[in-house]
Amino acid sequence: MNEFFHIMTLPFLACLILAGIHAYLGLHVIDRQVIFVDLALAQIAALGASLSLVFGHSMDSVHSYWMSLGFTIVGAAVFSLTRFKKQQISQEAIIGITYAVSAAALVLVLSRSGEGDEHIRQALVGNILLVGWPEVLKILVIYSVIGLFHFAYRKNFLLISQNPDEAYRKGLNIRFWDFLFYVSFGVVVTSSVRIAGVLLVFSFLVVPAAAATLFAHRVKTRLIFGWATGFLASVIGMAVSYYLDLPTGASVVCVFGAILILLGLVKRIDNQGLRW
Amino acid sequence: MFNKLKRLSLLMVFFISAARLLYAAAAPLKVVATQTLYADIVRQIGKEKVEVKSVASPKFNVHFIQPKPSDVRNVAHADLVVYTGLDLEEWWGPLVEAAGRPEFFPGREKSVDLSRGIRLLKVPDHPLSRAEGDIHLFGNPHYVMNPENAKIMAETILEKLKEVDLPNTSYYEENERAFISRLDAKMAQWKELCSHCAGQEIVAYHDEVVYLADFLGIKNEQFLEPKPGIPPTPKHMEFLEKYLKENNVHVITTPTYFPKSSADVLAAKTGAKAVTLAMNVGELPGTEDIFGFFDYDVKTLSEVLK
Repeated sequence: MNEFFHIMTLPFLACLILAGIHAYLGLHVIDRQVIFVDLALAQIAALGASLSLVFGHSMDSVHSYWMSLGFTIVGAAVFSLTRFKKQQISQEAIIGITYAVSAAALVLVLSRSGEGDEHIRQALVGNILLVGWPEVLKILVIYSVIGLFHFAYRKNFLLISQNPDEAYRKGLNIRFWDFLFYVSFGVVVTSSVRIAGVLLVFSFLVVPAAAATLFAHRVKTRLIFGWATGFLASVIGMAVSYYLDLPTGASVVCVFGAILILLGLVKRIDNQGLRW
Repeated sequence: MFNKLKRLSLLMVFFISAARLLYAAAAPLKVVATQTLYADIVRQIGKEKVEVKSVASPKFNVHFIQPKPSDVRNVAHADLVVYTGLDLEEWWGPLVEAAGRPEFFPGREKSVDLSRGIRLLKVPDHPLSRAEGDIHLFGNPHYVMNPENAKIMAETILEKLKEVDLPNTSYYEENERAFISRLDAKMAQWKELCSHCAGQEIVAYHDEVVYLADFLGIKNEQFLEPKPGIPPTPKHMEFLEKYLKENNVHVITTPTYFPKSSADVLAAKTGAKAVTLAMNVGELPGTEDIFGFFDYDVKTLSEVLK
């Protein structure tokens, strides 16, 4: 047991921090129906990092960080500019296209630069088991700042996600707020992906929010429900990974899947109510 | 009465600590090696006085290993760690850190960097630019592929075992001598078996068989990867097709963890043979120890290089 804590504490803390911010952002993502926006932004950030490799900087250099941040901002601009009151092409399509094109552009850049995909792959895979104190503290600070920012302007962010028509009617500058949303979202996702990998980040984003949507309606209850789901999946995921000796990130993702199936069943039984 | 009790308890303390000491002396030394071939050499020298575990399964590309909780646990409990050094195992540093054992950091007293004393090939002789691919800055790190290097590695391991487990010095020395003389005999056999290989040329998928080629006198300058870490491109395949034909090259080698398809395509176009070589102990049936491993690769090459 002691051993378990010794090895799994840091990964667990990292999971909790991820669960904290992603369960919240996930609510937005589900309301806006832009489920894969995190993959697209992570891919754009990787493209930025790969370009900095071409200029001879290493993957963990400051240059690389600013390049990927710059690309994330460009991506955020793309997503906020392609949102219209009457949508001709759905945002989901634009996100898909952005993902595919930036992934392909990454292949092209790498083939020219000659840098193999070793480093890029690390940026997109990440192993949460080996996360260190500096990384945990780093995401704690970044996510707290972004969380506070969202808390301060929660009215605008939530209104645009949940009821865009009302937001248009009120005359909010939706482009501007969308841009802020996607930039902050991109900063979060890019840092999370580096330590946890795309699969785990995607799960932390979508599963708690989806589970919460099944059972709750108010933002506050959804958030609490989402956090509880994230917490539970992290605890069980750590135990599964440790006691069955399985890769940690993938264990948590599969536990998330199992929890969602269970909750779906509960919901179904609940709906049938007294007929049982 | 009180005195008696005191004496009794003292006696008990004495027995317990004596038992502890005896147990410590009898308990095998716990060693963690990054790769299976290193683990095998440690086992050959330490026999029952060591308990060896390896991190990277030979079925996976050693550049990209995702350590599991058991790997962190094994490193946390180890007495000694053995690794490649250079910049091959980029997952090793984070693993040691996660295990919380700073004495295993490179250059520290309980860590064995096997690259010490190895004559490295392809050490860059000019300032590197990233435009040259995933180049290894210190030279080619796939030195396990030459049995001559196994002798040097055995020497390095022996030195460290003697250092941390002084009482068993002669035991280790004896085993190492036996290992070296068996290896010497085997090396003569391998050279003999593949004596016709010398001077011939092969094309490999990634630049990781150059040490074996060096041992057998085989030429290996072209790779399916246009640059290290980059999958074959159409232009490069076209170049290789011409190269194989013009230079009369008949053999293309791939490890198990890269797709064999591009080697097969090239083989079909040029009439060359595509073969799979083991890159580590335990990767293929019959490669359970270092001798079986080189047996397999040398035999494979000697058959296709006829």
